[in-house]
Order: sequence, then structure tokens, then C-alpha cells
Amino acid sequence: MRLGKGLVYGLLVLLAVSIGSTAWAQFNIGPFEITGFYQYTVDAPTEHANPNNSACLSFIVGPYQCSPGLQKKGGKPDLLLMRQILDLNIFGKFNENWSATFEPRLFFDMTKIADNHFRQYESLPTPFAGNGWMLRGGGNDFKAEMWQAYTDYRNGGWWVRLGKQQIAWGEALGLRVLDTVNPLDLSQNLSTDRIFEEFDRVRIPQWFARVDYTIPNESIPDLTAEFIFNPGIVAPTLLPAQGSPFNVVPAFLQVKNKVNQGEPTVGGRITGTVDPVQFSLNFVTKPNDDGIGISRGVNLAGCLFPVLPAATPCILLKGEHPRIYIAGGSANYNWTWAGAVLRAETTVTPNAPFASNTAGTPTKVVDRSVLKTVLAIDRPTYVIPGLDSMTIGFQFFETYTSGNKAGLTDATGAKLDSNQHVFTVFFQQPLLQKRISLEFFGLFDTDDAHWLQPGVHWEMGNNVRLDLFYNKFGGAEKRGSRFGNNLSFVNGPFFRFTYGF
Amino acid sequence: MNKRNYEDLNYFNYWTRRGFLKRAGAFLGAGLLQPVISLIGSGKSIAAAYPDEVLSIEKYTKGKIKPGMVISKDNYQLVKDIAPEGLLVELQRGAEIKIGETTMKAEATQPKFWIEATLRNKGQAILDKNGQLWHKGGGPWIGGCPFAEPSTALEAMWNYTFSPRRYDNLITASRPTHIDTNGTVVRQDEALFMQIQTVGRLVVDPKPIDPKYKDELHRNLLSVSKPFDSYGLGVASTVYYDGSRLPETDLYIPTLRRTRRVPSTQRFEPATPYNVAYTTDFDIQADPVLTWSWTLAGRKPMLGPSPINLGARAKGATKQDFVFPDFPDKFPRSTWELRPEMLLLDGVPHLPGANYSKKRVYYDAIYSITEQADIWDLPGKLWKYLVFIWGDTGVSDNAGGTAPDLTGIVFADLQRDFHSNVSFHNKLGDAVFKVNSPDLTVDAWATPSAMLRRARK
Repeated sequence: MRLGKGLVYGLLVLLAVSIGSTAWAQFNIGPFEITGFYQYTVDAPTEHANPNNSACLSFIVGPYQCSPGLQKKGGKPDLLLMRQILDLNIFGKFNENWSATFEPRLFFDMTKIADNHFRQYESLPTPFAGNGWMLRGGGNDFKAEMWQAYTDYRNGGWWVRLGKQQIAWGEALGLRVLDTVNPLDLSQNLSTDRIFEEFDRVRIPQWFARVDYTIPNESIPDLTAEFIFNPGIVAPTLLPAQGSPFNVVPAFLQVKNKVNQGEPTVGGRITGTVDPVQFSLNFVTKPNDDGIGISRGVNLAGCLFPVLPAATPCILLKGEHPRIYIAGGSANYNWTWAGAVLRAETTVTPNAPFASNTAGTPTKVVDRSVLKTVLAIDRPTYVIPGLDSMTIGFQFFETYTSGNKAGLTDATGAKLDSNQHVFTVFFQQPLLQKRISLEFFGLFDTDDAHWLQPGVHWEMGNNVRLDLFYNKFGGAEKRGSRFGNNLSFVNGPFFRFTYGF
Repeated sequence: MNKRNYEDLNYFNYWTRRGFLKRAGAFLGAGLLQPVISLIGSGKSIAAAYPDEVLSIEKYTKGKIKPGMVISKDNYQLVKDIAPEGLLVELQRGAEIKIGETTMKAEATQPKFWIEATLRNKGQAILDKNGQLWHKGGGPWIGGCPFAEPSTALEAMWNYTFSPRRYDNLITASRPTHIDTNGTVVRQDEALFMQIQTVGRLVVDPKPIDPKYKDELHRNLLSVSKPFDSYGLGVASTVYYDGSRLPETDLYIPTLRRTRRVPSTQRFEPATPYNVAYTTDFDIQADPVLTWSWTLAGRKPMLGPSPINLGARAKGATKQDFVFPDFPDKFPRSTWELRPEMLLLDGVPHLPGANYSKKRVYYDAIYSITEQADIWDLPGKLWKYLVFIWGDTGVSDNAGGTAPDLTGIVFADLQRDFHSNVSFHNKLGDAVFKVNSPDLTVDAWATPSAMLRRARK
């Protein structure tokens, strides 16, 4: 059986790793420190097959489920993901001024080897012009990439970082308000990583010059101006391939990303402290990460006889990435009396793009102003007598879209609301001298959608980490831009074994 | 003299300073034969300040203990009246210590420029009604120990916590090893630690106060390089001059790729997985002085670690040497000596979440530092024992001498029989031990933007 074959592959690697696990720590080669981890992930669905892989549309019978559709075999697959990753961090410090960092990664996706529900698909697709700049290569299952590669120069108050890098801004965790400089690679990660690790594995590093200068002054400590510039090496949000376990694009659609290289990303921010508040003021302009699907016609044969959706999708879209402008800011306040840190973050995008639909067909891109705001509080609290404090985080997130929204849809094809309200909670209870953490993340959309992720994280000595988590999406809300029932096909447990060095 | 067992000898019921006066008829002011501080200041041995009986463990114990003897579970009772309770538990469980001669020079653990400042600024420190330390002119303290001859527990605590490492700045590399009850190493961390004093600066400009950070005492930075999932983690603490205000904490979290301010209330729980040390335990006492209340419970000769314990800096040391050798042992061997005057400072925490009922800090009146503490849990049972060992690093202090600093730490959880032992190194990876360096500034190292630009991941 293919599942057994995949497990054997995984176990062999585990065995090899554990045999070689005598070293405690990283390697040093010349000025370079090499650290990293090997990780084996298994994610299994518990509810039903991904409906997007069998969502067909016929001009004769209308929308219907065409099982097995893009899958090889109908029904709920055995696996969502069975993957091995080797992720290295190579840091070289040449002197006090210069250093360099490289983060190569190797992927081996065994899902379709182990589960015969699936046809062959591209595990980490990059369907856009200019994808060579991602420095990613390999076959459908195996990929090698240089995830990050940059050099740092520091001198006095100056800091320059040049190269392929992640840039993260803002206070909010897990909800992207200011943290929008880089797009996301969602090919294998709709829910299958520990939320506590946020976007580190999926925030696509881009080619940037990042220049910071800490401005000497007596009144605002740590006042720093930052300028970022990407000359136009653009990467969009990357979605899972159609036919893959995490596919979010219905089978009857074909979206062709129209990513115009040469469009720069430019931005900057000012950060500092006016005791007791830390603040940032931010600005960035860039091509929109998400493609706004605009019709480029229909495939008549596919719409009349949708026998094989993979080859003959009915509706053809092109993903537009118009330039957007984002301005915003953030602040945090250490509320010592309450033992808490309060956070606030906001952005306004005066020209957020949406698709205008005529008779159900997206025909053009229109702009609307979108205001996003997050209020958050973090407070460690002693909940259970005798145990360490529980880390408790609470966030309230509002998205307001102005103007007439009739006939407009977002990048997922979902209709717009004026307001969207989301609450998140995060609990982390350490046990046994912090060796084990019980964690719970909950996201609640007031339009009746929720995402729950309870789990256990276990640190075993220096090298081994075990994670067992469960994802549960649900609620009546089914729009693609929400975390609701539309994602219930990924409900299920995931297990991760990590060996680090 | 009355015939009494040495077990009964202590400054309160026998060798009281008043007693010294009566017996010796000597120095009237401080109650010792001579004031220790003036001897220290003139570079002389402290021997003239104390009766012979407290300068020699052999004399003090009537010959029962002699330098060169090894104390272990077989004979630990010999030291039961001159050892902290925690040390006695450790000895019964297998620790072995060697007895050395009493070190007569304060410079063995304290930099000379610090001692000179203590003498120079003597009498200029005051405490306000809340116990807050000030210079008599109204500003922050200007350097050296504020109270050359502390008469209260609070004065002694200020002497130590004002600048626990004594330097205007310091960067050091450490390797904490966590060892279970069977002696198995269960985890080994590695970190760079930095402390930058913002007031009371004595060597590096601006002196004595960095005006930009005049409301602070110092900034600490911890930059973790092991294990792999903590690699690149940075923790910057702003310790305020106000002894009743909790520090600020900023983290650089590699997985978040940005800095994050967090509450600093989680002080009474393991600093990292497996770690016996809590945040409150760093530097023996890392909470602001006035968040605890302090009483002087005693003053007597007691055992203290010898400065010949050079730890990882003891070149060629073997596992058998009594120098706190750099081997991942549950009980690294070390040398101890009779310290003539130890102040027993009892502290009670008043912070939310505190799970200690009491900490007894052993303050060496000659060194003006604390190297040991016993800690009791809320029901009153002995819980932890901390040992911070000082010795000469051999590295320049950039003020004309070499720099004494920590050479080893033991955090012992006596209830679980679990240890977190820390070794210190002059070089570990790319971290090089140095003190009083013009490069080590707050702006360059210990701010959120500095952590971001120095991130290794």
C-alpha cells in the first residue's frame, strides 16, 4: 500500500537522524554557524474530500460535484500532507560590520506517493512569470530552494540588509494588517503548522534593500527610520495546485496569474519609544499579492462536457495584481498595573482592488478603501495553582470596506461585507518545567465561522520536538475569504516530528 | 575566652562587633579591629580587620577542618554550622568540595576601579523613606558600592544589585547545562549575555550617568544560540533605577522575524525548558530591590566559594580538579573557604505569582557581593540552592587591571534533585568576553532596533 510506503520512507529518515544524533549542536565551518532542523509532518483529514477538486460547472446542468474530479480516486483522501523538510540556517559573521545569512530548504512531499486518491500535482507551484527569482527548483515531489539569502552591514546607527529576505512589521500575530510586505506561499500551509510559529515558513522572502538608520536624539529613544525597496521582482500569493489536497480554486476555474515584473515595492517606517509607548508609522506601495480574477472567457467544451476538469476548465480567469498603497501604524503600551501589554495596529488601503461582476462574471477591477484595525492584549495569568503562568493573548480584528459593494467580489470570489469582525484567543499552558506546552488557538468570525487549533508541543532535550495538533474549521459561513466551513475539508490532526541541530 | 564550640560562634552571639571592641579594644568606629574598607582601599590584606579565629578555618573549627580536606557525604557534618542549608543537601547527595585558605584580598573577585570608587564615594549615598537609593546631591548613585559598610540588609542588597557585574558594560558567553537526578545531561543551552550600566559608570564615557538613559539602572541582553529552536532569540531587559518598578522586556523572536514587547511578570517560572533558574534568580536576585522586603538575619563566618574556581577558564583542568571544571557533571568539584564575615539577608517577595516564601542571600562583607542563596517554597520547605562563583578571567578590565567575573553558576532544585550548571567562557562561537568596552552601548545592542539588526536568523 502506498501509505505504508510513505511511512517507511519517513521512518527510515527518522532512524538515520536518530543514529546520527550524538551531536548536541550546530556546526561551525570557518566564520559560518550552521543550524537547522529536519521535520516530518503527517496531516490527515477526518471529514470529507476537498470539494474544490470536484466542483464542476456545466452550462447544461449547472454546478455539480464531478467526483473524482481532479482527484484520481473519489472520496476523502487518507492524507492532506506527508512531507519531509530540511531547513538550514547558515549565518556567517565576518567582522563587527558584516555578516551573511543563507537559508536553504529541501522539501520532499510524499503525499501523493502515499495516498493513491491523488493524481500527480505540483507540490510547490510557482505559476507566474519571473518565478526564477524564487531560487526554487526540482520536480513535482522534491524541491530545493534558497529561501533566504542576504547580507547585513552595520555601522553605528546604520543597518543595511540586501538580498532575499522576509520583512515583518506590526504587532498583530496571525492576522496580517501591517505585516503585508511579503506575500504568502500557501501551497502546503492552509492550517498545517503550529499557529504559534505564525508565517515564518510561508512569508515569501523577496529581493529587498532594507536600510535602517537610528536617529540620534534625546527625546525619543530608539527612533529609527527604515526604507525598503524591491526593484520589481514580484511574487504573488502562491496557492495550492488544483487537484492537490489543499486546493482552494474550484475545478471548473482556471486562473492565470498576470504578474508584471518590474513593478517596484517601496516603503518605509518610523519606529521609536515615547515611554511607555512603542510606536511605528508605516507606508508601503506594491503590486497586490492576491490575484483579482477577471474573466478571460469560457472554454465552451469544458462547460458543456466537463468530463476532465483538469484539462478542460469551464471558466478562464486572469489574476490581476494592481498596485496598492498601504499606510498605517502600530503602538503598544506596557500596562504594568495589569501586568499586560496592550497593542493596536491599523492600516488604510485607499485603493484596495476588487472584481466588479456583471451577470456573475468578473469583468474589471475596481478600487475601494479598506480600513483594517487590530486591538490586542497579552497577559500571562496564573490559572492553575501550582503551574507556571498561562500565556493568554486576545485580539479583535475589524475590516471595514467603504463605498458601494454591490456586485463586487474579493480575490477569493466572495461577496463583500462592509464590516468583518474577528476575535482570536491564544492560550499556552506550560507544564513540567516548560518541556510540554498545551496550546489553544481560536479564531471566531462574527458571521459564524471559526477555526480552532488545540495541540501539544513537546520539547525533548536539545534536538527533538514533537507536535500534535488538530484543526477544526466550521460554522455556517462558507465564503472563501473567511476561516469557516469552506475549509472544513482540512479538519483533522497533524503530527510533526522535528529533529534540530 | 570562654571555651565554646565553633558551631556557636557568630557575630551576633559571640564575635559581635561589640564583642570585638571589648576584646580587642581596638578600632572604635566600625567595631572591627580595623575598618575593612580602609584596608581594602590601601591594597592590604583584610587580616588586620578580623581576629585570627575567623581568618583560618583550622583555627575556627579547632582543627577539625583543615585546608586541603575534601568534604563529602562522609564528613559533611563537619561544616554543618558554617554552610548554607542548600550546600549541606548537595554534599549529602554526592557533591564534593575541597577546603582552601581564606582569600585576604577583595580584588580577587572585585575589580580594583570599583573598590576605589567605593572608597572615593563613601558616605555619599542615602536611602529615601521608600528605601530608594540616591546620591546625597539628589541624583542617581555615581558608582562603586553605595554603602561601604552596610548596616542593614537593604543597604547590602543595594551594594550588590546596583551593578551586579561591576563593569560599565560586559559581554560574556555562557553554556547552561541541565542535568537530571541521575546525572544525565538532558539539555544544553548556549547564550551570550550582556549588561550595560547606564548610571554609576566609572570607566567608559559618558560617566557617571548616560543622560539618555538616566532613569535606568542597566540594560541586559540575552542572545541565545542553542538549542536550534531558540537560535537567534534575543531578550532585552530594561532595569529601571526605581527599585520598585518591574523591568521592561523586549524579545526578538526569530519565527516572528520582529521584536515584541512582552509583560515581565513571569519571573517565578523556568526561564527556558528544563531550567532550574527562574528570571528572579539571575544574578542571585534579579527582581528590583524594593519589590522584596529584606531583613538582616545574621552575620557570621561561613563557607564561600574560592576565587581559584576558574571553571572553563582553568586551562588543562580535569574532571577531578576542584576548580569547577568545565565538564557536564551534576556536581562539578570546587574549592571553598571560610569567609570571615557573611551577612545573612532574608528576603520575602511581594510580586504577584511569587512561589518563594523566602530567599536567604549570603552577602560577603569583604567582597560586597553575594555568591550563594537558599530558597524556600511557600509551605516553607527548602527548595533551591544557588551558587554564583567569581574568579579572575585574565581578561583586561580596560581600567588597568584584569577583570574578575563569574566563572560558574549552580542552580540546584533540591526537591527534584535537578541541576542547571552554567559555565562561562572567554570565547564561545563568535562571542568574546570583554568589559568596559566603548563598543558596548545601549543603542548598538540593547534596543528593539538593535536586536533586529543583529538578528542571526
